[in-house]
Amino acid sequence: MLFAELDNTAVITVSELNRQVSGIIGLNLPWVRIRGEISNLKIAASQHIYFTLKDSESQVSVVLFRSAASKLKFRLEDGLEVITAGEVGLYEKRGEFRLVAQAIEPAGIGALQLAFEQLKARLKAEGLFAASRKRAIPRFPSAIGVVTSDRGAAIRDILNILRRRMPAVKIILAPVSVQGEDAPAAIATALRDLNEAGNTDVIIVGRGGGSLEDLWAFNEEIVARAIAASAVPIISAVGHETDFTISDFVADMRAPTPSAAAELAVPDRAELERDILMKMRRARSSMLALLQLHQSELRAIHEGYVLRRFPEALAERHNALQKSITALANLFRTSLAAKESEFISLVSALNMLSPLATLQRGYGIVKSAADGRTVKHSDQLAIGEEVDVILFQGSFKGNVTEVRNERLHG
Amino acid sequence: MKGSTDKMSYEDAFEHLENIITEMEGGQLSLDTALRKFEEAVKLSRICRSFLDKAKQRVDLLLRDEEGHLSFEQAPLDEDIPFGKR
Repeated sequence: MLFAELDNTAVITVSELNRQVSGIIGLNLPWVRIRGEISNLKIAASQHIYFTLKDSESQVSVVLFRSAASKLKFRLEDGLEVITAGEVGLYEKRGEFRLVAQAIEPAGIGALQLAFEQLKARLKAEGLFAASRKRAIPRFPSAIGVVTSDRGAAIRDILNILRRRMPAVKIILAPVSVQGEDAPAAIATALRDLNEAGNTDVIIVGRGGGSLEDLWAFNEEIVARAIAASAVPIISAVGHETDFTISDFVADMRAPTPSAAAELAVPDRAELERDILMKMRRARSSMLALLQLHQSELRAIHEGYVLRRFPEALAERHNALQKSITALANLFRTSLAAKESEFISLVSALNMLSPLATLQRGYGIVKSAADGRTVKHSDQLAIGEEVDVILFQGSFKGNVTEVRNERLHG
Repeated sequence: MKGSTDKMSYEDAFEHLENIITEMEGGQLSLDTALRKFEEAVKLSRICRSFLDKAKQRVDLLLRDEEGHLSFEQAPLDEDIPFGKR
C-alpha cells in the first residue's frame, strides 16, 4: 500500500508544496525568451496585461505588469507573433505557473517599425490623414510659428531661408527637445501653446536628419493628435527627403526637409516685387488707354459741329488738354515708380480741364440757333427763339416756351 | 488667430490691388473713377513694398514660466549664426 510506503515522509500543506515548487522553478529557469503567438489578450483596469502565448501544440499564461507594459512602443494584439523575455514563476495562490514578462518584441520586424505601422493604420482608419482635413497654407503669412530645437541645424536652416525670402515675416519659436523621453510631450505642448498664444498664420514642426530612433518623437500618437487638433495650419518637416513620419501624414503639408518647409511657408520677396511692378505697369497702361480714348473723343468734338460754331474758350481748353496729354505720354515713357504722384496730379488737372468731364456728368451747353452765342443768362432768350443744346453724346434743337429771369448768381 | 494688425495686412493690400487692376482693365470706368482707382493702386503698391522692404528678421521665443503663463521673449540674433552654436 502506497500510504504505508510513504509513512516516513512528512505531511506538508498546499502552500508549502507551492513554495517548494516555486523555488525549484526559480533555480532552474531563471530567465527565458519564448517565441509564440498572442491570444486571449486582456488589459486589466490596473493596466496589467494578461495573455496566452501559444504554438501549434502548447500554451502558457503570460502576465506583463503595468510598469513594463508602459514601456512598450507598439500595441499587443491577438495573433501577433512575439518574442517574450521574462521569468517563469508559480502563481502560488492557484498553483499555476506563468511567465512574468519583462520585455516583448515583435518577431521578424522591429518594434518601432511595427509601432509605426500600427499607429499609421489606426489614425488612417480614424480619417486623420484624409485630404479633406488638410487646410491650405496661407499665401502671405505675417507670422510663422516654429516648433523645433533651438540648438539644431533645423532652426538655422529655417531662419536662413526665411531671412533670404521674406525677412518681414515674424518668427515665433517654441523651443523643444526633439528627441528623448520627454520630446513627444514637449512637442505636443508647444503646438498647443502656439495655438493659445495666437498670431501665427502657419506652424512648422520638425527637426533635422537622424536615425529612426532620433526621429521617433514624430511617430508618437500624442504628437499626431496635437497636430490634428491645431487650429493653425501645420507644415511637418522631419529628417531628410526619404524619412516619412506619422506627423507628415497628419500635417496639412509635408516638407521633405526643414529648409523646404521654410520655402513652402513664405513667398519670395523678389518675386512679389516683380509682380507688383507688373501690376502697376498694367494699371498705367489702362490709364493711358483711357486718356487716349478721351483725347480722340475731344478731337472729334473739335473737328465737328461744336468747335466750328463754338467758343474760342473751348479751343483754348482743347489746346491745353493736348499739351497735358503729350506731357503725360512723355512721363509714361520716361518714368517709373517714383513719378507716380506727378502723374496723378497731371491726370487730375487734365480731367478738370476737359469740357467732356462736365458734359459727362449730365450738363449741356445751350446756344442760340440764330447767332451761335453761348447762352449764359435767360434774359438772352426770347419766347419762341430756337436754341441748340449740346450734350455729352449728341445734340438737339429746342424752342423756348417760357423765360424765367431768376438770378442764381450775383 | 490671424496675424493681421490694425494696419492693412500684406495679403489684404495685395488682393485689393489685384481687384483694382482687373477693374481698370475691364475698361468700364469713367476717367474720374479710373483716376481714383489708379491713386488707390499706387497707395496699395506702396503698402506692399514697404512691407517687403523690411529687412530685419525678428524671432520671438515662446516660453512658459513656472506658473504656466505664456510669454514672448525676443531672441538675441547673431547675424550669421542665429542659433546652433551654444
